[in-house]
Amino acid sequence: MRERKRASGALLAILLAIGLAVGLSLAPARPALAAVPEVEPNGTLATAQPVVPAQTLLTTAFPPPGSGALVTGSVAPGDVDYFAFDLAAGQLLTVAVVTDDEGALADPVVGLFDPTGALVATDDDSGPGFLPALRLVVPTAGTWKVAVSGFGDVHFDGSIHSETFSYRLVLSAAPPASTEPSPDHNGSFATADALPVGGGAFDAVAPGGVTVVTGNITAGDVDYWTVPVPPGRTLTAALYDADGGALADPVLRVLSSSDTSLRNDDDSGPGFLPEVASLTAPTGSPTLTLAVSGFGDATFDGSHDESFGYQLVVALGPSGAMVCDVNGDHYVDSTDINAIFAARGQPASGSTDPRDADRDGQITVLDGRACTLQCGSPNCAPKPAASCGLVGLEALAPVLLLTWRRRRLRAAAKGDTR
Amino acid sequence: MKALVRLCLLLLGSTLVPVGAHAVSLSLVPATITASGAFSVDLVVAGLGGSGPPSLGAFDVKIGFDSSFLDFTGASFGAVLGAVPLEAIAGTTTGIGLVDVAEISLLAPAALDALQSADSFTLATLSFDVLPGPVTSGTLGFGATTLSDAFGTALAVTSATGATVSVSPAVPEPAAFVVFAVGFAIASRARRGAR
Repeated sequence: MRERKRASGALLAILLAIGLAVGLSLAPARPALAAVPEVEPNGTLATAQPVVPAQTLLTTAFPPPGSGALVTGSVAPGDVDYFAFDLAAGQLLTVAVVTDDEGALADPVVGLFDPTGALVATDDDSGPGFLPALRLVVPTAGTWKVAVSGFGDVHFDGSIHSETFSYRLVLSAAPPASTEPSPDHNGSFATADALPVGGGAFDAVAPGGVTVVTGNITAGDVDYWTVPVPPGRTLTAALYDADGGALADPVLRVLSSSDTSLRNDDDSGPGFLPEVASLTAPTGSPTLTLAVSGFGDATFDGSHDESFGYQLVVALGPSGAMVCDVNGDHYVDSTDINAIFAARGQPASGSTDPRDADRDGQITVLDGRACTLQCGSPNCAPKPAASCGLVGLEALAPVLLLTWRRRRLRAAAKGDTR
Repeated sequence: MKALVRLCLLLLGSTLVPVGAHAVSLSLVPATITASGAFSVDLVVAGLGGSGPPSLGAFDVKIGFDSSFLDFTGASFGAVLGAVPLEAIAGTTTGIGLVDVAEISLLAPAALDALQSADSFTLATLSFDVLPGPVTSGTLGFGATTLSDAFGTALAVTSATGATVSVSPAVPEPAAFVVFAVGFAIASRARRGAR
């Protein structure tokens, strides 16, 4: 059974690798988090290596944005690594382990220990391939510990596993979540609830502010949330549910303050979860509105039959993302230069206006010309269309994989309920 | 003593002109235009020094005119900043008595250096119509101008010379001459006959 699982996992990994290669060729560069190397001995609860999750994660690839840390380490047969970090009650903790083979062969496991030292959660394969992942709302404040070991080490003492791998441990702690007001009245753009941004959780000035809200979606329901975003700042939003996107299939839309759709997403996050990364707030839109609904609701008016609870994590990124990237697609091309050309003579909308490359407060041909030097293609040719260089059909592999996985999980869920 | 004064003046003058600075000028060519209908005028830049930096990477030039006398009808752009639209973005916007002519090159600085081998070249050709009416002359003058080098840095314009436009004197129509001549001939013959 284990061999069958490995063979299946290898196939999945190959398909994922193809999809990942396609995705990486199209994905914008994201800020990297400086890694903290593992320091042995850290093989017990008592010798857990302290980790300070003080750095801001601006990626939403995995896990959600927020305060986080990246640790690099390795595990050999008989070895287990413990890491300790302080958390506040109510924080959304995400733990993910990534290996170079994306979980194709290496099979790590993680265990989470509360401040009393009790093992409260373990995971084997909730991440890609054989990689583990954990997400939970921390019930009590204190020093929590994570153990990384190999498959079979149920006690996290290193005694029963023969795995050898190097890994990257990603820890992320989002602020305590607020709750959707009751009764539910945020079912339209006009009645959107304001995301809680007070209390310093969502810093509207410094990058890295994060706010989290919990809500519920039932069939026919849509939740609209509005959040202030200064012009030029980037917004990253990710949705999480209790099963990590294994069954429920939420969709997410971001709208401008004039009710114009800026981005729709279905499955860019883990499993069937949506996420929107580094969306630059357009000029003239002091707020952005996020709409949460279920799969199939293309118009975000409640036309779906999904039902799930969720946590919406919204982070404010650094200002401006890219100077000159007027349309926020992380690629400077003739579209952006045309936009600057059309706006020449106008004052900049603020200190982060991507059209004002020289930051003199005015949009001029000087900005346009300076921006041509940042173009991604010769003569600022438009952004290349998605192409994988092969026959193109392999781009469907991740879709087919996710569809197959969804059917399998739903079938399993139905089997369980019966 | 005079030699000393000349030397001092020379040294003073040399400190006022930055090393490597270019005296970039704009002009409308021809500077004197006589027309009774449609005419064109070239927007010319000079003083960039020919091949090599600095090259012109973009410009935004406003030209004012008397809208009761002239009507702006269009513009065509030169190729020194690249061919529009694949190598350059160009366009005009008009207001009452004002036309804004602008272009941004999409070419790399080295390509611009190669294209702009002459010290003086035409950026655009502007077309106007002389409007019928009591006004018979006017000027085409420069308003705010922005010139950019290949790297988005402003180039100072040391002079900008506009153009004067005047209406051509009215030329009698040939038919009137003929009628007048025929009438004169008939009158002469009648007078000779009478004698």
